[in-house]
Formats: sequence, C-alpha cells, structure tokens
Amino acid sequence: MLKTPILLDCDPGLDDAIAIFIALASPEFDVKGLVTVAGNQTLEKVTRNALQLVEVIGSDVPVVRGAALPLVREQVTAGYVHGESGLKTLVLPDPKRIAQNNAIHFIYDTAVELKGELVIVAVGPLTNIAHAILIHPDLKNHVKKIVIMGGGHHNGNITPAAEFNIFADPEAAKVVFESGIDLVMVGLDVTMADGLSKDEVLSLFTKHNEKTQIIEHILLDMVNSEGPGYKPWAYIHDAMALMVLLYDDLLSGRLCHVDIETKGDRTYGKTVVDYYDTHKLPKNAFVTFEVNRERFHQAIQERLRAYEQ
Amino acid sequence: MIPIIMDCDPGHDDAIALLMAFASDAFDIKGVTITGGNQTLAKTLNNARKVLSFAGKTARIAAGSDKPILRELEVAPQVHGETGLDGPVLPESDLPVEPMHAIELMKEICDQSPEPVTLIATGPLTNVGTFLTIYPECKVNIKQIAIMGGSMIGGNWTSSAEFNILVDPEAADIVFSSGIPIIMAGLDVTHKALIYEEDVERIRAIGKKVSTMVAELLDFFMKFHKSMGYHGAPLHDACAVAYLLKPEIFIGHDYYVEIETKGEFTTGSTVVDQFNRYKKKANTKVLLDLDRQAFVDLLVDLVNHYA
Repeated sequence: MLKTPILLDCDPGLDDAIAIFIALASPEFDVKGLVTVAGNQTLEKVTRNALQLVEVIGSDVPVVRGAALPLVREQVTAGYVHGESGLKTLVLPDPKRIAQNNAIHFIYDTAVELKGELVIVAVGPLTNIAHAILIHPDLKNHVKKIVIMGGGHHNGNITPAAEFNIFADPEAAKVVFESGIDLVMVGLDVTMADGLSKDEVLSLFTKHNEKTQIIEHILLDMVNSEGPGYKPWAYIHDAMALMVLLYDDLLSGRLCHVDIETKGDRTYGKTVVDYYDTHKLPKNAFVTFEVNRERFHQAIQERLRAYEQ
Repeated sequence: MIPIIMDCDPGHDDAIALLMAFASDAFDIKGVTITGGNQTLAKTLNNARKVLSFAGKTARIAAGSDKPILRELEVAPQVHGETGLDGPVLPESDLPVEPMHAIELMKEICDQSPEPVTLIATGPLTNVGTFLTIYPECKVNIKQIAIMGGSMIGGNWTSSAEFNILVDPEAADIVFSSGIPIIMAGLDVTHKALIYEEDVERIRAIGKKVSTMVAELLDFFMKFHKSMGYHGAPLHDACAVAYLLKPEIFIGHDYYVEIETKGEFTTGSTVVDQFNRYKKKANTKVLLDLDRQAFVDLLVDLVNHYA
C-alpha cells in the first residue's frame, strides 16, 4: 500500500488525543511526526501530553515542540473544555522521551524531503504552519495539502462567530488561508453535526487493555465537556478532520473563498466563507458541510477497535 | 388592531409588504417612514407615495435621513432598477409628506398611542436607530420591532452581510442592543419565502389594478433573481409583515444577536449566539423557516382585498 505521509500538528487536547490514536493505528498513514502548538493548553502541557500519548501507544514517532505563543494576539487556552492538564482527568505516566525542538525546520525539511507528497493535518491553532510559511514562502511548492480542523460557516464555539483554533491565532490562520496551499477546512459545521453518545462510548470495546481504557476514559471525559447548549456527546473534532483522509465519503463540501476576520470586535477569528460565491474570488479552501453519519460511526469504531488487539 | 409604524425603502418587496400591511384589518398603520436603501431617499419616498396612492390608501408619511448614521448610502439598482421600483409604470402621487423628519413622526405616534406600537422596518435601520438614540424614552411604548434584515447563513451583499444591515450597521447595532424585542426576518427565512412563476400568475389572474401591479413588480423582481440562479423571487420584506399577521406559519428561535460594525470582512453581519456562549438574554426571535404555501396564500388573500 502506498502510504500517505502526514504531519499531525496538534495541541492535545482530548479530541487531539483521539486523532493521535487513530493516526498511529491507521496503516494508510506514514506519520512523520507530531508537532505541538499551544492551544487547548500551554505548549509545555500539550507537548507533555503528546509525549505521554505516544509512549502509551508505543510509537517512536518524532514529537516536535512548536510555537508557545500566537503570532499577534494574547494567548487563549481552552481549559474550560480540556481541563488544567489539557487531558482533563486522565493521568498518564511521565514521559521518558523529550521533544525535539525547531518545528519550523522540521515541517519545512519534511515537506521538501517528501517532494510534494506531504499532507499536514493541523488540528490546533495554525501558528506553526504560519511560521513555516512566513520563513519559507516556498513551502507551498512542497506541501500537497493541509487539512485543518478549524472554523465554521454557520457558527463558532468559543464565541458565537469564531471557532477556538482560529480564534486562538486568527493572524496565523490568515497567513495560512492566504498561502496558496490547498486547504481542506473541517469546521464546526461538520464536527458538531455528529458525535459519540455515552452509551456508544461504553459499548465501543468488547475487551479492554490499557490503551482501550485510556481511549474510553478520554471519550467519557469529552461527553458533556462542551457545556450547556450542546448535545451530551463526545465531539471528536480533530479526529474527524484526520479521517477525511481515510474515507472519501465521510465528508462532503465545496470549494469556497474563505477569509479570516482579524479586525472585527464581534467576529474576531471568524472564518468568513463565501458560500454563495458573492465575491467571485479565487477559491482557497475545500469547505466541508455535511457528514455521512453512518460512515462516521463505523469509521470511529473500526479505527479505535484496532487497539483491542 | 395593532398600532403600526412602517419604516421602509421601496423597493419591490417593500412595496408588496406595504400593500399587504395596508390590506390587513389587523393593522392600524399610524405612519409610514421612509429611508434610503434600495434606492436614494428621494426615490424611495416617491415610490412609497405612488404605491399607496395607486392602491387608494392614505397614511401619514415622513421622510427620514438621506444617509446612514456614519456611512455613505449604498443603493441596490441591480435589484430594484434605477427608480427603485422598475417594472409597473405608476402615476405620480399627490399624497402629502409630513413636514417633519421621520423620527419626529415616530415620536409623535409613540407618544400618542394608548398601547405600545409595533415597528416594521424593511430597509436599513437608519431611521429606527436614530429614533431610539435621540428619543430613548419612547422605547417603553414600543412593543416590538419586526425587521427584514440579517442572516445566520451568510450574506447576500457580502459573504457575511445582508444588505439592510450592511448599509447601516451602526443603526442596526443600536436597534439590536435597544432592549426592545426584535423579530428578525433574515435570509434564513426569506430565502425560503420564494415566489414562483405560478404564484405570480395566480396574482395576475385576480385581474384588478393592484393585483396587476403586484404581478408586474414580481415579474421584474423575478427576472433579477432568476439571473442570479434562484428558482423564484425571495419576497424578503413581506416576511416581516406576514409574521405579525400569521406567526403560526413561521418557525423561529430566540437568540442573543449582535451586530459587527468593525470587521474587515464581516461588517454588517448579524452575530447569532446559537449556543448561548455569552449567557445573555435573547433579544431576537430569529425566523428560520416558514410554510411557503401558507405564505403565498396570505399574500394572495391580501392582494385580493384591493379593488
């Protein structure tokens, strides 16, 4: 099988953790590295979480420390969803490894080495990718595409207009959306269209081991973590973005022109999707709008049950 | 009867909304105030007078501001033509215009009304916003404001803004933060309030002078929307009127809504807090869907009213 080489740029994070589990268990992927970025929690916390998760899974994939602070704005984190540690109530053994430094070089060098085949899956704020683009404007010639978990056409989550990953670094998102790299936007329109109920989480595994217990723990922590107004589901935003690469029929959407609002006082960090092509501007992102629910549940079960073995 | 002030910028759909409102015996229309929007103030004022005269109706009518509170006026000739009401040729009107600004008429009506007044605003919110800023004491005698404007699904004039809000976002900000209950008939519902060719023919078949005018207005409005790829003509402004007459044919949800006035790409967007992130009290009933057939039946019923 020809494997897709991916870099997972992430800020684990509960849903990031599920994405990491799925990425490292999918034979379709050659995971070149996990690059961390401050987002759901501070860089130190999310990097520690990434190392812990990789060690629990037993993977030797490189973990690379990325950006600690957004390009311009003050830092915001999402402790209200992901807890103080970034993995809510999950406690994992201290990591034995330490993370590599210099994410910008790592991203650029990996892309160049793979001669245009690299797919970046960016499920945190887009700070690292923006850094790499700003320092290596030719990055766009070396990256096949970037799948982004972020944004939303119809609504936000951290504010009514903005989704957290974009809101946490709107200026970085602007750099990425204007970069000319092929983008797939997996936003709240799809990631909040479906999720796992508590019952579904509890019936996910038929036999347990350390890894399945960790997965179940994370998913149970996620049920209800979004707070009032949401369905009591585990919304696995980041994993849905990753899985768009695994299943052609999981998400559907269309090419759109997308701007990032960085000046608004009530829409700061909004992905402004020109759904009706009002402005006739070049389409810079494939924006996903619909989830194939049957495929979604089947895919999640299949991918996570790989850890029963 | 519900005491009503209609603030509008006719405009094809405004003209039809006006005719619907004046045909209904549920409304006591105390005044019609005019704003620039679909065309310049002079044109929209003239259009409102012509439509009312042609339909044999009179009302106190006053002109408002000729430009938005802070911005220059943007008009929509591509939708409504150079006159703002291209299509039927209507005779000049001798309907007098009140020698006062629209907001003075609004104040007089609110001050004198024994029961709280309902405002229907189907254009940019310049007059209503100016009124509420200059005479905030009148708020207590305003029951609600039913507007055509805004959208949760993306805009029609920019990717995120609907025309009426975009033209005067500062006025819209004043209105939405006024504390007065708002009914928002935005693109979410008005894009479902489509009038099809067969509906136009049904109106034309009534065969009276007002029905023929309405059919001709719809012919022109349809032509533009078909050229834009619509299957019918979204009768935006009529939704604000229809909701007040028949709320049961609409589906809506109460949300906290605010207006972006500073955005690079988002100015004039109605920001709807669907997940109650701000824990603020809902200020707006956002209309989301309607029974299209019942809406068309209501329109036909009301048009039938005219000789």
